[in-house]
Amino acid sequence: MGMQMKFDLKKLFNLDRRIIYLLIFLSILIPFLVEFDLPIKANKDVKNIFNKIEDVAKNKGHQGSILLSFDFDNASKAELEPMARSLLAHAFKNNLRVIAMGHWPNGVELAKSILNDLAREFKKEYGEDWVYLGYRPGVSILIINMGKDFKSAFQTDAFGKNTKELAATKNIKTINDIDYVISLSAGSGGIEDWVVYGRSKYHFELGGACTAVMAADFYPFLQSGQLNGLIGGLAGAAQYETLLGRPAEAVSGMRPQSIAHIVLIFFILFGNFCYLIDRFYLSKRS
Amino acid sequence: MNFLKKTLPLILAFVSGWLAITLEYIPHQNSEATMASLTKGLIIIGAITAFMGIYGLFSLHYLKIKRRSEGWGYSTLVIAGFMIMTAFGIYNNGAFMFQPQVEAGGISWIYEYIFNPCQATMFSILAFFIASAAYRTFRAKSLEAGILLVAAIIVMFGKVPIAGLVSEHIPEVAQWLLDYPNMAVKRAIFFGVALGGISTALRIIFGIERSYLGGE
Amino acid sequence: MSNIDTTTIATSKKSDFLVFAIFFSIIIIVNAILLGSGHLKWGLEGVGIMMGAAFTISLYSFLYKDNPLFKMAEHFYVGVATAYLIIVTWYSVILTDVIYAFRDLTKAPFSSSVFWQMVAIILPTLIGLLVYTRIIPRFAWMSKITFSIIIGFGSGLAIPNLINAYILEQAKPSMTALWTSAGGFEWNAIIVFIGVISTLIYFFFSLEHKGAVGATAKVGIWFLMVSFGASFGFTVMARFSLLIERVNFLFHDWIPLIK
Repeated sequence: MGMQMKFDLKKLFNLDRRIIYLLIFLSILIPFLVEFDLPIKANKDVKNIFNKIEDVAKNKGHQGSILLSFDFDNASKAELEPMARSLLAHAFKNNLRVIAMGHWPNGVELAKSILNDLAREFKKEYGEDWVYLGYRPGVSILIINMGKDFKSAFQTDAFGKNTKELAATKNIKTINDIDYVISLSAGSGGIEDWVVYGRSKYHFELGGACTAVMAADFYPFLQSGQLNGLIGGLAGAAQYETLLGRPAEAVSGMRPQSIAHIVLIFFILFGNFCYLIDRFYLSKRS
Repeated sequence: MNFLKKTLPLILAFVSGWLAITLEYIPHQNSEATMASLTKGLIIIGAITAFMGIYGLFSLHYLKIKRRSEGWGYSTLVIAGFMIMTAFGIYNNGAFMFQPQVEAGGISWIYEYIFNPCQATMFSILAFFIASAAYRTFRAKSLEAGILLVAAIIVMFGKVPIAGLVSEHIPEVAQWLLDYPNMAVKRAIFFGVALGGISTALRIIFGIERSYLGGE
Repeated sequence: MSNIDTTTIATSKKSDFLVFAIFFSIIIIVNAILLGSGHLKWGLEGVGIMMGAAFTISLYSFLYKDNPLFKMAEHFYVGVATAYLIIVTWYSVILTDVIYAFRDLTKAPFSSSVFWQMVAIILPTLIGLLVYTRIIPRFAWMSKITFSIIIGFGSGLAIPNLINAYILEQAKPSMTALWTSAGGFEWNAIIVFIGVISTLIYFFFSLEHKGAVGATAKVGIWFLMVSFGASFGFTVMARFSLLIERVNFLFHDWIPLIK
């Protein structure tokens, strides 16, 4: 009996990987098709970013500006695009000026399409309400350059227009003239560089939005105040959408995300259960 | 010649390294201005060197095609992808490459409908691999592995909203785990990263580390 | 030996054919239905979505097994990605910061300031161009000049900034009271204190991990495991999020299954 059971468990152990793939795929597709509500509650790190934007809007009005650094590309668009959309919607709703840029060359077209979408929705005028400065190489060197002389770093925007002539960038001499900087980061050339070469050097207020892979690494920056807040992963994006009252892709993605996590946890627990049973029979036999 | 090939690069690394350190520690307006010009110069250098990528791509795949070595057919696709995209880049929707980039046009289309799905799909495949690997190998074989397993499950469950349906304390536990024990470890790692980074930087400036020059 | 080889090649050819057959039947049938039902319109957007779906499915075919369809999509994508990088660099830096900036300077009345500004463009351009000497082996050594300047300057910048951001600013919040007369023991501060110290000791290999050091290092491992577990949990979240976006593309943008 024991041997028989062990044999079956071995079979389960060595489940064809394609069956696991199929189950994971279904655990994502099915929750998309079945509607149900989930309680989404923003944590303090997400709220801090939200509140900072509200503060800038309250104190500065249309003269207040935030800088969004699009430090990601298509590979992590799933997580960071919803964040970018929410942050832009929040800034535009509060009539703040948005200055966008990016350290990742492959994200330029993506950033443009997100910015254009939101600007159209909120009827914002290019140059007056928002600008897109595009990509420049160098990362740390670029950040230091922006802190010394903003117009030298970005002589023109991404469309060849002089930054001295655009209303949104006209009065910005260094990065310290910007009220809040947020890096939307998917890897090296993102939040860490902004902290090391930007925030710690020039002492501007910095917030982070990042992929879940990196989120756990940034908690020391949160505790030390080098980051004032953090939106981590699609769950963080969903929290921001909820705070803003504008549920979109991230909120609807929480159903498949939750179910897929539970399915994987079940897989892991089941694997361990099989392992323990196997060990139990092994020790009994010997 | 030997001086130019071997010693000059080391002298340049030494001088530019010390220049950067000195400028960082002198809060004078002249040093600030110098730093601004130097960093801008480096941005330009960085941009110009980026085109070296074309040479790398072509030398690899051109040789493969020329020698008809295994998989050379795929190399023609690399070149085709490159050529098509570059052609649209030069054409710039009719304005050509010496005018600022025009919005829309071929580049945007290829970016949105080919580049984007390819890159996004390549990385999403990892979801399947991580699931399969976790099922196969994630076992509580020792106390340490057990701690790892429990922490992973708490974060995996506590960080998605469905945990709130079971108990509102689960997200709090996950948050606490990240805020304190996890934060402490990551901070210790930061100290290590900084010390490692500083020692590598010093080795480069003093010419002990030369592998970036091509390992001679 | 060669016998086995030919049979494996034959079976792999057969399954490759299967992948192609399934792929093309899905693409043709589904797109025909979508076009016929009017969900997709024949135009730039419609063709784009079909193209995106085709590339997505061909890359996912790797999950069944490695096959030529996957490799074709992958290689084409590498070519496109390299070209895109070049295009972005051209339009965002070379055209604006080098060509336009220099053109504007030549239009301005000549002065010593204009002269130095021109030098600030020409000099880095020349230094950057030295990298291309790598193509000619005889002059390849010249490219080392560029690398040594970039790496040397970057290293110089790293030292003060790493000390500041990673050591000084991180050490500050670690030095908080573990006990106060008002609040008693600060448990969270104690945990952070033990975590940082024990992890550092674990990574300190100059001392043999025995006795008190060994015990502390052991605690360090436990802390590390908690942190790795947290990172793993988050990594799972990230990977699934990417898959969610792709599923949403296939079953919402392409096939209208999800509302």
